[in-house]
Amino acid sequence: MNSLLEVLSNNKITRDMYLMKLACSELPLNGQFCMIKVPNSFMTLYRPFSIFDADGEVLSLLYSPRGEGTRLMTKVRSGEKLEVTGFYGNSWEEIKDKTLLIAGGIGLAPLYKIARESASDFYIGFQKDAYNEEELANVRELLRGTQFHIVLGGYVSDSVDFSLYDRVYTCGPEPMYRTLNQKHDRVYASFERHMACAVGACRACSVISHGEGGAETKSVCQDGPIFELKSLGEWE
Amino acid sequence: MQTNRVLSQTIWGLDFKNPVIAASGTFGFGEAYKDFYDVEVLGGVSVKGLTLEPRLGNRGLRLSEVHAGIMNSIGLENPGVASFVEKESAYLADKDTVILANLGGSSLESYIEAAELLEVASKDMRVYDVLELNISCPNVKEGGMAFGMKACDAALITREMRKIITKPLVVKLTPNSPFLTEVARAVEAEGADGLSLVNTFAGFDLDVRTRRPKFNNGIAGLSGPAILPLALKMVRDVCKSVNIPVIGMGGITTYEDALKFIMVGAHLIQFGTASFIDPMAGKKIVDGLQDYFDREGIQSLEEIRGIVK
Repeated sequence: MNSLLEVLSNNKITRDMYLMKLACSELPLNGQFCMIKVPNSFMTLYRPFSIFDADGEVLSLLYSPRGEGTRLMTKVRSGEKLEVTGFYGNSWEEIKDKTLLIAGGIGLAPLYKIARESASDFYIGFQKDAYNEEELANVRELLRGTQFHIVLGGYVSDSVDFSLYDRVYTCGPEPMYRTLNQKHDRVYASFERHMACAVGACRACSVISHGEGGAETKSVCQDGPIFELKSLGEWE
Repeated sequence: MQTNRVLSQTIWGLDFKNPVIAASGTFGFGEAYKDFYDVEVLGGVSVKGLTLEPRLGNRGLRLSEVHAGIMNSIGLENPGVASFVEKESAYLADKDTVILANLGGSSLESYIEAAELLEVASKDMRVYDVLELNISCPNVKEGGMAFGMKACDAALITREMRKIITKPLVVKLTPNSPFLTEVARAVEAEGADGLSLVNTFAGFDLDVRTRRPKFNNGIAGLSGPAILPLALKMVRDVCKSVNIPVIGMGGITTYEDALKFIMVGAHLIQFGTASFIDPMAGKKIVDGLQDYFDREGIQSLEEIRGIVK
């Protein structure tokens, strides 16, 4: 896909989380991502976004304004169009056994759809004072239809009995991945890196892994974004 | 692929269907943009910069956006020449487009050994058509643009490569040398068949919040529309200084940009960062040139090459 997609809505969920809905007839695989640019803006590059939800008519993105590009996206209104390419990358394997979904903050975005479809346990950690009651109510509303457990403060991984699960799917800050990697031996994590192209050309998004085959690079856009942590060994 | 002959030319005995080439490090090994357009649309592809040994590339942040451009510190991540010969070269080998093998290195010995591997490998199969000798990468600690800063060093490495490489040899120059035209003339004198310029401009950026450089190496290479006027001046200067064909580049994103480089004397052009701005950029530049030639009734590139003094 390489299209101009119309924005249907772009709503603030919390102080640092926005839900954008785009009219889109294409369906990504669960866990894939797309590249987005605001046309006729200062943006030189597209930005990568994971997919929150998609049904062949509406494509939903949950994003956090972290830099100039994402801050500009919060200003986009319904009816405007965005340049979108994709979908890129590998996907979550279909859930057949007992799987734990565990997210840190905005990392819940690429897990929501599979959480709803599989009815798996879905743990999401936020910082203790991240949100007020109204914002938390919005988050709960957003997560409706999933078996979600919101954990406020501390490490979300401390709230889980890992022995109950055959595998773990996660998205969040990388230090969390290192913790999960020690608690379970089948962890699949979605990675994030700065990238320009999403097609393996720019080599900006490489993860340097130190697995059994020695040091090697894997690109988040093509080999990922989802990696089984065991296959990476140590990574940087 | 249907081609209109007005954009075609024969250079170094090779048929370029048009003057538009994908720049090294922005197009993989020719396969990267296959979901967007057919690589045979292009006059040529310069593959990701190769080195003798595989390289993992740099640690830390590798790329960031600036106004009208990007900064990169990739650090020549590549699978190495041997792997390229065996695997990555296969995609382009049967494609109707000119293949430029971009070769970098750390020491003179590593350049020589890599060139010998390429030379031997291409005896009985098509691995590449033109060697683009990279003496201009600002993002590696050893070698890289060190050979491109002074005329004597550039001459030395060109002379050594010329002894090995029987295919056309193009030397890719750095805009970071204060002696650009001297370097260009020295490389020409040592038997290079052509020049390509510019590689990225060495820049610096930092994070005011963390009070640290953005990139682990400190400096990173600036590319994109921001550098076009700087690059155009340099290509103009070099075209006036040498008699071998020049491949002009630096911030080209449209066919008008491409025309500017041709009008100051370039035989061929490369686009790089443009693909990151618009994945269809290469095809749009080719189509735009075609339309322009039709519209203006121009019969060949020669008619407009170097017409702006």
